Amino acid sequence: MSNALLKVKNLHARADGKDILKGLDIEVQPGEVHAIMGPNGSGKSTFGNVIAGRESFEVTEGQIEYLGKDLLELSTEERACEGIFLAFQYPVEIPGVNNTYFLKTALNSIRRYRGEPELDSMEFLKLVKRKLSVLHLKDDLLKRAVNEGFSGGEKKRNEIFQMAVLEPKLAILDETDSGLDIDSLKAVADGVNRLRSEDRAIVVVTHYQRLLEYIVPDRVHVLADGKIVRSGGKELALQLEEQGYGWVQSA
Amino acid sequence: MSLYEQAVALAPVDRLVWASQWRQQAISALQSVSLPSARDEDWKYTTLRSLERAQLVTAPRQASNDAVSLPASFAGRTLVFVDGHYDTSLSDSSAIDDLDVTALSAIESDPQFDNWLGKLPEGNAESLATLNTAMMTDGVLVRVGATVADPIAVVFLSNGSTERALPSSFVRNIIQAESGAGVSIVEFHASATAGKSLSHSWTQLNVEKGATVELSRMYAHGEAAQLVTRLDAELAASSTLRLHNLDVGGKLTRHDINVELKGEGANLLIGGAYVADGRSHIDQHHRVDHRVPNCTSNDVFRGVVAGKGRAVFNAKAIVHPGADGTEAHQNNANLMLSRDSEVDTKPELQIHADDVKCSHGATIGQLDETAMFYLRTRAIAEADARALLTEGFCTEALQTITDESTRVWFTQALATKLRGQST
Amino acid sequence: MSTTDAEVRKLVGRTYEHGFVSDIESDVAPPGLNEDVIAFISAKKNEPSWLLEMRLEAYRHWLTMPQPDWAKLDIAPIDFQAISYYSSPKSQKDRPKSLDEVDPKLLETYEKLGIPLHERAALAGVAVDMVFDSVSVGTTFREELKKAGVIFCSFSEAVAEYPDLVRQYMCSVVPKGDNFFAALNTAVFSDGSFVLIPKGVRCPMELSTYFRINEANTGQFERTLIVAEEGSHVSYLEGCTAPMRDENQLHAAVVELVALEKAQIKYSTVQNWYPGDENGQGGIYNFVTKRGDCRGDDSKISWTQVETGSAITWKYPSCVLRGDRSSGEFYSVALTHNYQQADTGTKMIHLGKDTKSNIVSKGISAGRGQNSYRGLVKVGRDAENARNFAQCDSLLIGPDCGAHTFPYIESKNPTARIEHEATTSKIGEDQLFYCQQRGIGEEDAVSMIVDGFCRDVFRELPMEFAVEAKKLLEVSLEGAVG
Repeated sequence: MSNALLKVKNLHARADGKDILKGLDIEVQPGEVHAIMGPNGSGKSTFGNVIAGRESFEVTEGQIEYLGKDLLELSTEERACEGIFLAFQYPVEIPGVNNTYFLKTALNSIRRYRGEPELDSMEFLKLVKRKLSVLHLKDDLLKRAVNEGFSGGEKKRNEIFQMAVLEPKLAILDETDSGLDIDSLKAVADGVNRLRSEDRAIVVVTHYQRLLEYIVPDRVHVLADGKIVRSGGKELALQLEEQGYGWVQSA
Repeated sequence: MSLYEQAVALAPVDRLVWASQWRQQAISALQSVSLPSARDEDWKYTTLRSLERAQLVTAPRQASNDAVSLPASFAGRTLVFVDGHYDTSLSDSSAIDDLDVTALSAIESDPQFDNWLGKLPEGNAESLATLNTAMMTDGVLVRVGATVADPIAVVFLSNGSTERALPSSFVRNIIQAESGAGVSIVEFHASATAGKSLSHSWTQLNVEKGATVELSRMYAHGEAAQLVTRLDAELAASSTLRLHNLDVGGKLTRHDINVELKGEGANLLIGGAYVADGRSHIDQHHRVDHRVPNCTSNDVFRGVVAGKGRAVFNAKAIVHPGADGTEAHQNNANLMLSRDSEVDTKPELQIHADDVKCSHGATIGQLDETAMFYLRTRAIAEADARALLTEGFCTEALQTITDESTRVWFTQALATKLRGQST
Repeated sequence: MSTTDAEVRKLVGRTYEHGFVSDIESDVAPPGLNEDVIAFISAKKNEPSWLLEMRLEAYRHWLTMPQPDWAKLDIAPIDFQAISYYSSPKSQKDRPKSLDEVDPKLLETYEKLGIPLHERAALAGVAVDMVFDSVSVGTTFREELKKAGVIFCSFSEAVAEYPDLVRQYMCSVVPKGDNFFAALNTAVFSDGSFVLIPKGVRCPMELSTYFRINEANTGQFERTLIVAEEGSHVSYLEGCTAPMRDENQLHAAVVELVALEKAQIKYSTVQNWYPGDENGQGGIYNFVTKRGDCRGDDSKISWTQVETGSAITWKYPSCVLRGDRSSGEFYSVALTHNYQQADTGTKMIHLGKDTKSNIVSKGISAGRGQNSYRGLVKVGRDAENARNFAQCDSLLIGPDCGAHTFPYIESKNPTARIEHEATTSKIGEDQLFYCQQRGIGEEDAVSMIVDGFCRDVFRELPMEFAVEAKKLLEVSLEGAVG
């Protein structure tokens, strides 16, 4: 287990003066898909934000080891360069900033960080078009401003598209299923499944079991009051669906 | 010296003979006005006090080719004025069909001039316009009768000085788009040499029935330059004016934009961006009069203030009785990046009809923390993320420029300014 | 629009419900203003010399000031020498010891206003201070309030009984030369209310004052001063009415609020001065200076106003957010009908750190009414993390009215966040049609829509005031729409 991609030990975090995570432990190996489930207010979104390095969340205790490094020492963008990707629950609209330009800037920062040559516009466009076709997205997406005027489904698909372009080692999908109709849900899950690989881990954070029918996890964790209270295989998700969160919380 | 004394001393009696009757009238009107003060509501936040003590002088009228720094990508034909005088050697005066572009100084007379030059606003708040009529040396006349594909650029360069006296120039531009015509014009104002200067420019615009004019103006003066401009436009039925302003320089800038929507179905867009950094003070004053039914106006400005910069914004939309079916919207958003900067904004609606849809919004704030985080999770470094968001924030107001070579020129000038600006 | 202008005009007619004249003998000063008149007022009230001195200073300053003309108001010239600056119901010469001693005609007046003071006050648990023309005629519930340590009395009594408190706080929020009308008030004010909520006390009941101008050719110049000491809470209500008169009458009040650390003051006004007739004849000129000073950290001042009356309203209840984390609120409904004009709004001055302000303004214009929102949000250089949000909406009913918005926003702090939004539109034809299609009559539909439009403000009013405000709006709008 020493070659874990992500090792979180006794993580405590607070935001707006409130303790949210109260001793969370989790280990993720390369290639695995984990699901973190939990009721509203259990700390699910905080987990993703803390891993990605959001400054308004303060880590008060515990360690996060990622690829053998102390993640807490790294800035948000360094974490991204190291291969951490957070698919936002509410992808941010950035009027006036072109999607292609945005993504090219992101990809080239990562390449620069890794000591790889930056892509010029032509190479980048080629790459992007290939990824678009794999995810069945229209290239008119590229001409628009980041997430601006996108429907809920388009925003979530755009997140997965960014993930496809940036090729992270660890992707955290924060409530990616929220607000999606069944067709969009399938499309998003299909995109994620195409991105599953030996050396990439995915953590799906969700309230409902629904998404896990399409993205089948290796491990399922139940988060309640800032702690993992139960872990198991994919059948745990079904059990939760039938019996509700009250069952684990009271257990 | 009073404005009147300055005008008597400097008025160019030798030029624009046809203008002399208006010039004389303006000079005598100056006897009873002075510079606007904070008591004039429209000058609450901007003072011209430094002009009270200034001694205006004429400028050398010389500039090198390098000063005319138009981007290679810009497709249009160019006229250049230096210190208020047409410069044939720097200009491209080749003829274009359906388009009449001439320096005023090259015109013997014109029956329409009375309409233009006879307009003399009254009161202290307008005293610089009166001074313009008294002092103007030249300017451009654009008359267009059909749709012209390529844009036209009119460049105004000012020489600066480090001496006590203040080099000044006064230009008057007249743009007339005849029925059904379409044209895109760029006014580019910049310093030819560093140092202080005063440039006053007054553009009068007549958009006739069904015509479309796109006028894009960029002000990129040096940090000691003072600039006061005025624009008066009249829009006839079903006509369109798209007016854009980009301010990326100067020490003191004041723009007055007055638009009269006089024909039904006229459309007006005023869009723009400003960056007030260093010690720069940029003041936008817009007034839109909806005089007839079914016209629309949109006024969208984005601004960044940094350093000791200060931005002032006042956009007024007045819907007159009977102007039903009016849509008028105003939006001014500002990013404040430094401790010593200041923003004073005041969108304003005066509505005297009931079947209208009007709104305005104004914000002052910082970059959105969530957006910053989002960019940084996508591996974009903090400083780059800040620049990208700031650029995106401002650029939005220039995206409505339809002539592509102009839009590219303006957005790049804005980006260059933002990247060079210290916070 | 399905209805023609003529029909709209026909529907616009309505009468002023409170337009009766009380037949009570008054003790009136002769019209005119000079230092002698001021001395007369002061002597009438047995005032200490410092107060007379303050009046005279304010008067001398007022003489040097021009009447302000920056508001979008068309004001006929006011002859300040034609106004009588003091009018006191005669039977008040010997002040009543209790409500039973109050002139029954006066009480009847209040009943006609729909405020059966005696019963209703008792039932509602509201303590009422009544200002009739210029003097305070009786305050209920004084004993009960006294037990809680709350001082609630007329301004004159406060001057007599608590001169040090009055001297300490009077003119500390609105300086005596603050503006033309405030200076005039300071020179000639006749009475008003004084409230002090001691440290840590939550005022056990809502305090209330009703103002009424009765005498012809009189001005009313009342002052209200509310001091909320550390950690105290108070909710104060103010109602205004006046009889129908052909000529304009002047009302120039000053209200000063002081909130010390952690104190909260909620000030609600339902203003229904006589608005003039449908031809714009008569009506009250309502020129009021209201300002609250959040002097202590964590203090809060909230203004709520429903302005349906007056020929002209010139009024900007403001908050000076001096204490850190202090907050200010302004909720306003202003309605102008016939020839009424209103230029009203607020000023939020952010000086302390982490200060917050919220502005909700709803303007309704009908007939030939002119309605302006004028506001100032100012963030000082040291007001770290100041937050302001303003929403100003205008509703237009009929082709001849006007709605105007003048928000001034000035910021000198880069951590401040300020947002202003405003919309103006006519009453939605589709909404009207939808209601009518569901069988709701046009007038009901209009009042329903207007009520919805004002909901965010009504919500801030104490319950019974909200009901009154809603009714006032309905009455004021009767027939305004086609």
